[in-house]
Amino acid sequence: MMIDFSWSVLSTELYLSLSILVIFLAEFFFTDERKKKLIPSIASLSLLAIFIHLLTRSHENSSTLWRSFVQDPLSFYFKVLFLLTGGFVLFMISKSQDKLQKGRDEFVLLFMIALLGMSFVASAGDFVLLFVSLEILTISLYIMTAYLRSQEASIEAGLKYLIMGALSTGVFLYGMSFIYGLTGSTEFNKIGEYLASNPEAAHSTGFMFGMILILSGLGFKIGSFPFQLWIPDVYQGAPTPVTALLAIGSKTAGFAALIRLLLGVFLPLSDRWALLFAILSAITMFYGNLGALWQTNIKRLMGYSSIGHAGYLLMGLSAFSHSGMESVLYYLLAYLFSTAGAFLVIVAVSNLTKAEKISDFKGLSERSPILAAGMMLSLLSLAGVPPLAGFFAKFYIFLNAAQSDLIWLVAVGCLNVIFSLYYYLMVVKAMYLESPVTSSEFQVPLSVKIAQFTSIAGILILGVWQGPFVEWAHRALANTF
Amino acid sequence: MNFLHLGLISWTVLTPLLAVGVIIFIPKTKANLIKQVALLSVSISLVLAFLCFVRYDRTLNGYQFVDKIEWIKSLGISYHVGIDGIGAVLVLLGAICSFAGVYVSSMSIEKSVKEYFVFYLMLVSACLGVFSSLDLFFLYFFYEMAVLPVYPLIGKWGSGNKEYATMKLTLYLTAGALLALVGLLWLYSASGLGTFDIPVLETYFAQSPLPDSLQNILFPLIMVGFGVIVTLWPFHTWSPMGYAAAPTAVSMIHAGVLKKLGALIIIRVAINLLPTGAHTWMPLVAWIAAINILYCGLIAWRQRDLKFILGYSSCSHMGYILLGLSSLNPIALTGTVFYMFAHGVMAALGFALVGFCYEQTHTRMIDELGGLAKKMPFIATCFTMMALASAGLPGLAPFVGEVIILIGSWGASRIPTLLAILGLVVTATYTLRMVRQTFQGPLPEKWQHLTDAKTIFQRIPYAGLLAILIIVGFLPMILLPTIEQGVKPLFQRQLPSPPVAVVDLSRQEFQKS
Repeated sequence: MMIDFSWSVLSTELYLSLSILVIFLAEFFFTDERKKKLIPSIASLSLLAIFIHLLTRSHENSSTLWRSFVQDPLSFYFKVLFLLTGGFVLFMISKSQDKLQKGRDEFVLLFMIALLGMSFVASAGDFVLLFVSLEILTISLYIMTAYLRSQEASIEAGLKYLIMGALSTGVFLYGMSFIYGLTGSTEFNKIGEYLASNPEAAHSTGFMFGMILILSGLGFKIGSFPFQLWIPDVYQGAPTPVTALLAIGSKTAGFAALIRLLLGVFLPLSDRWALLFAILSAITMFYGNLGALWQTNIKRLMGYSSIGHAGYLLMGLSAFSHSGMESVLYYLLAYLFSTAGAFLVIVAVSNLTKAEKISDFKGLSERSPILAAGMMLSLLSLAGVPPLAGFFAKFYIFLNAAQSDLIWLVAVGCLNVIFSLYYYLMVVKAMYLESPVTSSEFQVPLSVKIAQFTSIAGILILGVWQGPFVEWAHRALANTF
Repeated sequence: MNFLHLGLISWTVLTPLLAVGVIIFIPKTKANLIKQVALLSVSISLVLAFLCFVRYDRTLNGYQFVDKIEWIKSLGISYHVGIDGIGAVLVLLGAICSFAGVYVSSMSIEKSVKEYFVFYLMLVSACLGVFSSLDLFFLYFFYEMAVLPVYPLIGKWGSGNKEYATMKLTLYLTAGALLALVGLLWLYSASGLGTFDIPVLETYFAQSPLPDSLQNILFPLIMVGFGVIVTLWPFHTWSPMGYAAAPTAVSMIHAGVLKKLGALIIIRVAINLLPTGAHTWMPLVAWIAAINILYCGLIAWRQRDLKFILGYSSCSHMGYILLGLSSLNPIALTGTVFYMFAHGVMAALGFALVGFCYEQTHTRMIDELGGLAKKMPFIATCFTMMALASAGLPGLAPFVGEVIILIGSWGASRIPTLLAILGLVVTATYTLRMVRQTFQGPLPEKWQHLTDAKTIFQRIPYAGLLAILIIVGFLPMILLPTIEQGVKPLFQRQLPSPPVAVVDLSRQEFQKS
């Protein structure tokens, strides 16, 4: 029997795997310290090459491996997001090299493997492939979280993440088994065909139970209520680049899986999960935003705030419509640039002050105007202030919720924006309104400035010129309805 | 005049933003260059706004100087700007206050000049954008954009209890805006048209308005949401504290312009698109307006801090605007827009003068001040005239606005009008007392070193604003016909409003005098 394997469809993943092998060999053969410093550069160059290659495949719409691997506009969208995330996080890793005493190169390797996992998630057309790719991503993240072996917080964070993650993996598998048992296949298309010919199967208890379990497993990844308890501790304890990867990459991967499942396998039950997501969205938003109000550690604050953002994204999912899903995609893009900008500054500041409290940001506007401006723009974008990216992202989601008669949810969302504005302004206040502990000026290297400008450009462009990106999100979903 | 396919209004709005783009690249050590760029940009905006006002054709219906660029087609969002008679006057107000504000800022701000002007010019641009926006999305976009820069402006360059004041102000105004957003999105989905375009929605709702029950819910959402910035009682407490803590130029533009943003949006959206809702709720608003006037006025009476007096007094004056809005007839609305202009100029002047004194004395408490007229005769004169304008002296612009509002509201809400007239007495009392205690009487020893605004350059903002108050006060026909032209369509499209005293304010009457 011929193996349905297409080199071209899998090209992004194959090139990623190739670069992982190259890095592996490089760290094996480069024994010289100086040469070891080249490894992050090798990784960035290969990422850049893969990104350019990906951009040439934007209109592709095909599948391989017996339709378990899908490359369509939706997976293109997510892969672009993942590679952009990868670019920013890799830059942060290269700037945090001195924090990791041992195993710096393996860290880059793990990061690339996590990226590979994310890439497969975007293209998963089969439950088994989805599961394996999620595990590749998550296990790499477990290790990366616990990487600072001399710090108790890091190991504790890794352990918490591992235990809760393993639990959610088990739940996910259990749900998968129900779906498989009922429909006879793990491949999304086949399941869809089965449900089309046996509509009552979709409403059977077994199927619904399976769906709930799978959504729970994915809910852990995106950090929605009631699976969000791990987030603040893990975000705080992990090394900062890993926190960024968790905040952006892991969340986006979870939503990539969710969107594909909700629009495919679970489509017949749309009215059920739409209402479920609406309620979860409201609770998640409150949990995240109220929890963040009291925080003094910047990474913990970002953890709670990312729970809040998961809530807004769930609102987009609950507004079940083409436009609603588009708004989720747009929000993830805006969220990427805003969060990346914030974490870039956190990495830069923690390099210089060796601590991660909000009070370390005091007077940053005098010590480094560019870092303070970047942080302010990123945080205000996360809060949803025009003319920044986050404003239209939230507006779009609220718009779709209003169109789906979820006005109460829009009101909850708006209330939460006020809470979030308060705690984001706390950081802005520390940077701009308070005087620094020491007034030495930060010398910000040019590379950091360039990275900061990139994130600011993303925030401003997405904030003002939204049309093309809305179009892109629209095209990404064109196939699925 | 069309430059790069954008008309006069777009350039009025966008010039300050372009200046922001330029200032970002100027090194922070070149403070004077930054100030010059900022001043140049608001001067250009002022000239363009003036041109728009002068060239506004009163014989034409509809919006003029319109620019429409499709922005997000699938959602019905377009960059749609243009002005009607109301907009023409308010854009002019915005440009005047912005010019005065930047001018005063360049005389007083020395610390972190670059960041200050970046935030301030964003604020200016956003205000002008709200006045000229004809698309609900961009209206809201510009409105929120006007609320946020105030946070660092007050927090960093302000005085006194600035951190608390600025957080309270920002959260309060944002909460109001978000409340209104719920209303706006609900309106959008209820209309079923899938567009945010105001002219399209206007004509649609004129023929097939939303059901009454829905209008009765949407109207308070939008009215209260945007009313917060108009210091609708009881949501006014952010204002006196905020203005007291703010640096001079920020108070000028906030009291002068930002409060009118809310009033304009109430006209453009709440009254325009939700007429039945307006008729249901406005009688209540008339009473709240009366409370605004009297309650805030009486609190102003008790204040010992100059800026708090001015802050509460501007809350009190907003009551007249709310009273005019609540009357829902052409006369009252004409008076309201006129008063918006007059009050804006007057408030800017008031805060500018207080700021001038504060810079030298570093105290705002009346008890410590006194007899300043001996050392600052020019400023004292301007201040006295500002106080008289605030009290409603004929010959100065606010009087005209107040009278027209009261004439218009007499028929619609009798008792609130009577209370408003009583409020005039209260206002006169505390403003004139403020003048007497600050500028007249004996001069304490410690103020012997004070200096006046001597040179022409120093006097320009104060003299300019005062001149406008006097000219428009004596010649209101400069503004009134334009305003009427803007107010007319609101009532032609709608259900007939309750009967009003028959006074025909046609152009002939004004031209005769």
